[in-house]
Amino acid sequence: MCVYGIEDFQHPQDSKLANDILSSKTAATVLKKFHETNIEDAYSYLYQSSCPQLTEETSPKLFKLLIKACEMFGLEQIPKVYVTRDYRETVSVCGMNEPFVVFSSEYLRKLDDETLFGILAGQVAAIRCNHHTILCITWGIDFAAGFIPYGDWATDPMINNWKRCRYFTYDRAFSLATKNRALTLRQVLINVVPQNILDRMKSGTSQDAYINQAKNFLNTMNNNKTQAFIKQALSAYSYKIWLPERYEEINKFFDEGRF
Amino acid sequence: MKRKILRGLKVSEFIHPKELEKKEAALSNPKVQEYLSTATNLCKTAVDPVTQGTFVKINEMSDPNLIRIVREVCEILDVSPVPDVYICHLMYINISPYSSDKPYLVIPDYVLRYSDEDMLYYNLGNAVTMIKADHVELTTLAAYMPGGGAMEVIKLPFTAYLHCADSTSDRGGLLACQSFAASVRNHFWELGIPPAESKKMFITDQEAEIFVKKYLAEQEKVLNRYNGIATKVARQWQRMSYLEAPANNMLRELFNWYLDKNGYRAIMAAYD
Repeated sequence: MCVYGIEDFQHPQDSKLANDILSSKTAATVLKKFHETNIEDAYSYLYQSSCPQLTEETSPKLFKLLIKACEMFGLEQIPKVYVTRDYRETVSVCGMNEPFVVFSSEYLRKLDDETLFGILAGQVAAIRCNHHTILCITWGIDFAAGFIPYGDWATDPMINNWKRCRYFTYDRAFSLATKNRALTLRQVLINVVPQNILDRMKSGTSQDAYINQAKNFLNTMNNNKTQAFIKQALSAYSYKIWLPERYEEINKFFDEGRF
Repeated sequence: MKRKILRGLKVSEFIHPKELEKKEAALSNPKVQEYLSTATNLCKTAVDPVTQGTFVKINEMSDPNLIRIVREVCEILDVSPVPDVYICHLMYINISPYSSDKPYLVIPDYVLRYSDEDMLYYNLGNAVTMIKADHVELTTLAAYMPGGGAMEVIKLPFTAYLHCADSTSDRGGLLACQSFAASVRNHFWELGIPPAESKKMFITDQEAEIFVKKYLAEQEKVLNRYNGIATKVARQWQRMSYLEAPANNMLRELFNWYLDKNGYRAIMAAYD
């Protein structure tokens, strides 16, 4: 079983922004407060008391894939897994000292075994890259910024940019785990497009129904200053994920021929 | 289900009687017209990155059945060209037309998962009617209009217009799907009853008529019971200030037009 190091899957933008956040004075202040007040326990408790836990007994297939992902990506401690009911969300890592994974049940239902393995690989990669700590810190920063008028205007651009770039890391881990370009591209759209339509979109093939939209979007952002400015403004104040960017990053990663 | 094609259908044949008057009132203020022009262009430009970057365009290859239904709805309502179709991930039950150089439709995946085909015809017909009846710019603008202070006063004539426009697009939806039962099930979905449940309550148009008549009568009784001054003021405020009219009022409007001898039935008879 090949064990991948962080340098194999962490996207450079994720790495840079994560360092920027972790080395900021704000993060240091938030972490200090967390240690003093045991906020981490409360933060974890919020999820663990309201989300059912999946176990090896109730979800043997998921755990078999999770253990395999942990071995492949060098994570010793198998994280706990919870489900929540949230139509919008997909999956995320949470917690600080003891990271865990939270799936939206709607999202989990859509995943076949191979896709699930790739997604789990992404979450294991997220834990290896300390995303759970950063998400906890950003939660703390958002909370504190809420008390200052327009406080979130200062912190949101950096945080939202990182929240977007972390998906590039998940996609790289997915690629390494499955070695399947078509599947990696397909999973980008899995929470947007119903299954029966997605099957006909032939992601990653010469008949890929999404690729032209992705290319047109990226070309427009490169050539149209107004649209680029609007996208930048939207990017600063929301962590909206630009699907064409994920598509492009995945294709670049496969084209680099790391397999 | 075989549906009639209403070739040559004009908006004037089914428009809400007060829509044009309310539109004129909303746009009569020159300051509002100025704001409208600037804001409309801004909305169009600002929405495009969101559409192209977060929604997914659907074509004949990816969903031939959906595209067939969209084309058929446009043919029934005599709308050309056929708008492009995008899907977004949203727990929302309405299909929305968006304004750009060429209007397009955005369908929440939630709609595709849970409506049946007849309901989809209604929902698409509603959205396509908004394009046909020129609602899209004003409704988009109203959705993005900031609130508070002086804006609330500017918003009031808009909401009056929007309520009439919604009624017109409901009528267009019924004309597109040609099933009163399916139209009503969309309305009940908005009121909180999932499609699978409303299908157990009525299936045919006749059953839907009986059900809606009884439902609205019971609603009226409830409203009459709570008839104090505070409730009256609240109801009036709701009517005036909410971008969407109360769902029961919308259902009542559609039902009355369906029953009116000069309404739905007259149009269907005229296009024999």
